Amino acid sequence: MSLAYARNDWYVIADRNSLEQGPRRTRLLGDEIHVSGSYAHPVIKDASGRMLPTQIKFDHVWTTVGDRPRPLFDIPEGNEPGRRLVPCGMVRVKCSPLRAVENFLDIAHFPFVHTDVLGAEPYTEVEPYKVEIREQNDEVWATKVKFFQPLAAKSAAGGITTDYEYRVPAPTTAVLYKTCPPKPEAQDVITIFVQPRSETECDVWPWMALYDDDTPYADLVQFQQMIFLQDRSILENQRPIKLPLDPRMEIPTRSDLTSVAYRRWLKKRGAFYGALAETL
Amino acid sequence: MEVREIRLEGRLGSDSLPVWVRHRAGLLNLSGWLDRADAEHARIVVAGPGPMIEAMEVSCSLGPADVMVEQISSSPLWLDDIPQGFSIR
Repeated sequence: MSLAYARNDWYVIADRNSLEQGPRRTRLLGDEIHVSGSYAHPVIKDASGRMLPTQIKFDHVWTTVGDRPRPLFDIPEGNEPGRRLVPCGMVRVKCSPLRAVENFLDIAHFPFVHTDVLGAEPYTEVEPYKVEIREQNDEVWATKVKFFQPLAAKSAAGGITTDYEYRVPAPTTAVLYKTCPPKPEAQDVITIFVQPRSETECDVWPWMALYDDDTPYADLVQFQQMIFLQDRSILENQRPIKLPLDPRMEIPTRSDLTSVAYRRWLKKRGAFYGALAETL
Repeated sequence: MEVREIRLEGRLGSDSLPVWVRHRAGLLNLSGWLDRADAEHARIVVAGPGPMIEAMEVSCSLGPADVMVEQISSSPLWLDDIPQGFSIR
């Protein structure tokens, strides 16, 4: 594991709703931390009582335990007028935080895990798409991804071929840009911020920036929670629990290129917290 | 049956690479060979069904855990004799 690398990233540890429920303890990178205060003035302390830095971004509270934290990435779409920003609460998953991100990047499982919602048989083929590591900002991007979806979003009226783009700006964050059903010229943004409680357990905080003024907030959250709960049963049964950086036990194919690029990128950075970095 | 040449560039000096490539070729039922020119360049020739060769390319773009593949490219190859088994050269 590379705890030293992981310590210098920023992580979500609360949202407004969780802070309104009062002080609580949580875990970050294997250590307990204490969260209190208000959403406007959160107070985060580690187990020794040391105050940790905080920032409010994307409707969540972020902290870091490192001495030299890397800058927190931006998601500019979150500032676009007309978008509805939707924090979706938290789902706890007993899996590597990196596996949670990798699962989010995987399209091929949609027809089998999110049947009749994000995918359906016989529409199982993943057409060729483009994957690159953009040197300019050192991010993984998958573009020109197309997939048929029976119910692509809460706002969708029926099945559509959805255009996807994936972006990985940090080891425990993935951003998805997808066709916005009521506004085809725009893209909805769906993000997961993964809080690594340990190398084998994480809290997933989904967040969306949508063009959808009609769907009730509770329905939007319920839709995302349903998707993540479907994923959880798969994620918690994957072995090995940590994400292997060596594909020896798997046979990745063309549809797995985003996952392969993500693992290469982790390897290049030395971002091994939650990864199985040994040759199997 | 197709034959392709896969070229790798990166930090390829680990002893694990030949073992890993041979294992992967066996898993995908591919024949051919690995040539490692130096610690930064390797050439893999594989013969077999197209989808299996494609899977080999995807795997090689990640490689074993202690190898960092920076660049990968592949092209078709025409050989008079299809190789039997998989060898390290």
